[in-house]
Amino acid sequence: MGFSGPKRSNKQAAEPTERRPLFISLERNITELQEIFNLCADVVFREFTLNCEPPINVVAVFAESMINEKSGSDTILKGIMQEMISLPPTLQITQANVIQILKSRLLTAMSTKETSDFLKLTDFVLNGGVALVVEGSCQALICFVAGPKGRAVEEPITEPAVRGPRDGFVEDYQTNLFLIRKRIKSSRLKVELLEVGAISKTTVALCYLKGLAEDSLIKEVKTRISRIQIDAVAGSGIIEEMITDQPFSLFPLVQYSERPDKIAGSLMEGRVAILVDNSPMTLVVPTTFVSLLQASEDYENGFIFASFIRLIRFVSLNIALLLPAVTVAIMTFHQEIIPDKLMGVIIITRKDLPFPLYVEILIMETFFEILREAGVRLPRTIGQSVSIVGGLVIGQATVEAGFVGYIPVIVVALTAVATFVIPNYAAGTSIRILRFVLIILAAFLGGVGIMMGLMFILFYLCSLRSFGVPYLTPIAPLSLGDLKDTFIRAPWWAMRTRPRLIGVKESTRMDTNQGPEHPSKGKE
Amino acid sequence: MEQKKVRRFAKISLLVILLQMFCWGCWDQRDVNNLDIITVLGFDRITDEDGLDKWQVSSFVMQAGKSENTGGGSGATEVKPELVWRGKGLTIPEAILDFSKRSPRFPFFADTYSVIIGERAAKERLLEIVDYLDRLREYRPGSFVMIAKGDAAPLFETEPEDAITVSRDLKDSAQNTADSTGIARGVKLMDFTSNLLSTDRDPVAPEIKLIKPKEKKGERLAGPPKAVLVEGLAVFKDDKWVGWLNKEEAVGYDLLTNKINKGDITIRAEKAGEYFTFLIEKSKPTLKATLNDEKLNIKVGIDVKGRIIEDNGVDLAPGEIDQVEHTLSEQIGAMAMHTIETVRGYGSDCLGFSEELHRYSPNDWKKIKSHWRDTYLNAKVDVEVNVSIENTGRLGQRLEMKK
Repeated sequence: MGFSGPKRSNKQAAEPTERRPLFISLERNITELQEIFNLCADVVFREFTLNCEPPINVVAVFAESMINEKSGSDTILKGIMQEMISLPPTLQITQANVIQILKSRLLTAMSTKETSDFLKLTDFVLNGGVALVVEGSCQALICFVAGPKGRAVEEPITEPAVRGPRDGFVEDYQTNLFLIRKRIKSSRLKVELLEVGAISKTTVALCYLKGLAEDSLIKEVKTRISRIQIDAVAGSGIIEEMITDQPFSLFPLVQYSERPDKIAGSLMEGRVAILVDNSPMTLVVPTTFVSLLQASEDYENGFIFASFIRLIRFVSLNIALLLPAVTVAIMTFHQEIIPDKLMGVIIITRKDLPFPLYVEILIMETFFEILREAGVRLPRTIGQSVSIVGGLVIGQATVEAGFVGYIPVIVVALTAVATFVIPNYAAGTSIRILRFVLIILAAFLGGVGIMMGLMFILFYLCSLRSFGVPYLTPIAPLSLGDLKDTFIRAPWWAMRTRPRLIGVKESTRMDTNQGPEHPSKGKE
Repeated sequence: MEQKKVRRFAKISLLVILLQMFCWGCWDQRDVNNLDIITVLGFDRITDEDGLDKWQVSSFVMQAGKSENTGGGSGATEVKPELVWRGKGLTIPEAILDFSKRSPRFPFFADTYSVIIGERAAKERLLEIVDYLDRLREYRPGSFVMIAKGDAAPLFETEPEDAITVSRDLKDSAQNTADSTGIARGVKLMDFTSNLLSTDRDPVAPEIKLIKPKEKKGERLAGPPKAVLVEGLAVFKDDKWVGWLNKEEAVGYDLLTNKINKGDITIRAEKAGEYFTFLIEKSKPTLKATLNDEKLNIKVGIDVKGRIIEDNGVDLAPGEIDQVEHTLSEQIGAMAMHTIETVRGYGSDCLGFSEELHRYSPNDWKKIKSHWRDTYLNAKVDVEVNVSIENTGRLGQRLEMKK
C-alpha cells in the first residue's frame, strides 16, 4: 500500500508496516509481539503448556476488548487443556504437527486461520482473533471468537415507517450483512471485503447481485474505493465524499440509508451497496434524483395511495424550493397578480413594518435553520423545549412586536413542513441551500430571477452523473418505461422491468400477466 | 494573445450585463405597503370655475384599515370603507397627480376592477380615456367598463350595501348579478376596446346609477343613504355615447347577443288576465346575415329554455304548455325586436349584425363597406324565438285549499 501514514511517527509506534515472518523461537516471537503491543493495555499474553511429551509452550495473544471471554475460554482453552487426554495415545504430538492437531482435533472455534507473518498476526489480533503462538513453529494459529457486537438492531430513527419493517442497520457491518442476507437468500448476493484506512483498517463491504449489477459498475466502485489512501475512515460519509463523481456536488450523488429493506430493494434493481464498518448508514450507487424522493414505504402501501403520496412529495419539493422566493417576487415585483380580495388582506397585515419583505423572509428562514439545527443536536428531552421557545415564543412574539409580518411566518412554516416531506435528508439539505439562493435572486430580479435560478439548477442537474448514470433519469434522458416508478408508483404486477440504465443485464423482474383478474375471465 | 483579450472582454461585459440586471431589479422593487391600490377609477369632463373644460378623476383607494386587534393575531380585521380621492387637471395624468400627490405612496392600477365613465366624458372624449387605460403599465384587460348616468363623481359618495366595499360591490354585480339577471351585462375593458376600434361594430357598456335605498329600521335608514346599481346599458355609436337601453331592452340585448348558461332572467307572462313568471335558464342565439342586392337580411334565432316558477292561479295543464310556449316565444320575440328598433333608432350597431356579415361573407362586406351603417339601418330583420318550458317547478300540481 502506498500510503502509510506520517513516516516519522511510524518508528515510535513500532507498528509493523511490512511483512516479516515469525521466528521459530517462541521467546523471540513474544518479545517481538510485546514490543508491537507495548502499552496496549487491552492486549493480553496468556502462557500455557500443552500436556504432552515433551511439553510444548504456547502463548495466546488476544485483545481483551475485542473478544468474548467466555466463548474464548470455552472454545480454546477448554479444548486444549481438558480434551488433550482423550486424544488417541498413538498420536504423537511434536512441535512440527502441533498446529495441525490443534486445528483439526482440539479447537472448537468455528473459524480459524494460520499465519506466519507478524503483520497479519497483528491485524487478526486487533480484529478480535486469539493468536496461538506455539514454541518451535513459525506458524501461528488464529481462532476467531465472537466479540462484543455493539448495540442491538433497532428501529431506524432517521427513516421511520408506518408499515415497513422495523429493523435498521447498526454499526457492526456483519450484523448489517446479516440483515441484507436475510432478505436476499441467494448465492448470487456477493459480498466483497475491502480494507480502507492505513491506521483504522476499516472494513468496507461491497454488496451486489451477480448478473444483475453491471460488471463495469462493480469494477468502478472497487477501483474508486481501493484508490482511497487515507489514515482513518470514521464513517460512511468519508467514503461517500471520496468516491462521488463530482468533487463539489450540491446534490447527493451517493445515496445512503439505514433501512435494510431499502438496500435490498436497491440491490434487486442492480445497484451496488457499500457497507462501511462502524457506520449504520449504508451507501448505494448509482443514485438518481428521483430515487431521493422515493421512500421504501411506497412499495409497502397500496399503489394508489403511494402514487398520491409521490405526487404530494413532488408538490412539496416545489413548495420547499420555491414558496419563499415566489412570495418575495410577487410581493415586491408582481403585485398585479394578487387578486383584489387577497390584496385587501395583505395590505392590512403589512402595514407599518420596519423591514422589506425579503429581509423578513431571509431572517425568518435563517432563524428556522438555526432552530432546526438546535433541535437536531440536542437530547430529545431538551429538544421539545427548544421548539416551544423557538416556535411559540419567538415566532409569535416577533409578529406581535411588529418586527415581521404574518406572511413570512406562514411562508416559513409551510416551507419547513414541506421540507420534512422529502424522504432523503441529504436531498433536503441541498433544497434548503438552494432556497436561500432563490430568495436572494427573487429579491433582486423577481420572477426573472427565479426563472434564471431554476434554469441554472436544471442545467446543473442535467450535468450530474452518478457512477455514469445521468442524475435525472428517467426524466432526462427520458425513459418512458421507468416513469412507472417516478411520479407515480405503478402496481407491482405492472412493474415488470428494472430501471433501464441500472438493471439492464436482467431487465425483467417477473412474468407477464400476473395482475389480479376477475374469476369469470379465465373460464372463457 | 488576441484571443485571450477577446475572451477577457467577453467575460467582463457578461459580468457588467449581469450586474446591471441586479441594478434594474432593485429599481423596480416596490413593497406592497408602498402602494396606493386604486380599485375604482371614475372619469368626468367638467367645466371648472375658471371656465376651462377639465378632466376630473375620482378614485376609490383600498385602505389598510386600522385593525383593532393587530396584536391578538386571531380574527376580525376590520376594513374601513375605502378612501375617496378626487383630482382635476387639463390632462388625465395631471388629474391623477392632483390626488396622488397627497400620499407618499405610488398609485397602483393593477387592481382597478371597475372604470366608471361619466355621461359627458363618454359623449365627448371616450377614446382618450380608453387610450390612457391601455397605455398604463398596470393595464388590466379584465377591468369592467361602466357608464354613469350623469357624472361619475357622485357615485364615489356611495357606501356598500351588500359587500365590504363599493368597489367589490361594483365588480361582483358587473361580473355576476347583472349578467345572470340580464338587466345589464358586464363588459371588460379588453372587449370594450376591441369593439370600439373595430370597423363593423359598436360597443356597449353597462349603465351605473346612484340609488337612494328607502328601507328603514325604526327611525333610521337600514342601509346606506346612497348606493350604486348596475342596470341597463349604454349604447355607443363609434366613440360617442348615444343613448341608454332600459332593463327590458337590456334583457333583449342579452338574449340577442349572448349565450346564457347560468341565467336567472325573469320574464313576465300573462294568461287570462293573471301574471306569472317564466325564468330563463339557458338561451342561445343564432345569427345569420346575408346580402341580397345591397339589402342586408338578418335572421336571428333564439333558443330559450327555462321553467315556470309560479302558477298564480293559472292552471297549466300539460296540454297547455305548448300554448304558453308559443305565447312566450312571441312575447320574447317582440322584446328582442323592440331592442333592435331602439338600437337602430340610436343609429348604432352594437348587436354585431354587420360584424356577422363581415365574418361570414367577406366579399359581400367589401361591397357595402363604405356605407355599411346605412345598409344596417335599412336591413330586414327577422327574429324567431323558440321557447321550451322544461318544468313547472317542484310541484306537479298547484296547491289547493280543501274546505
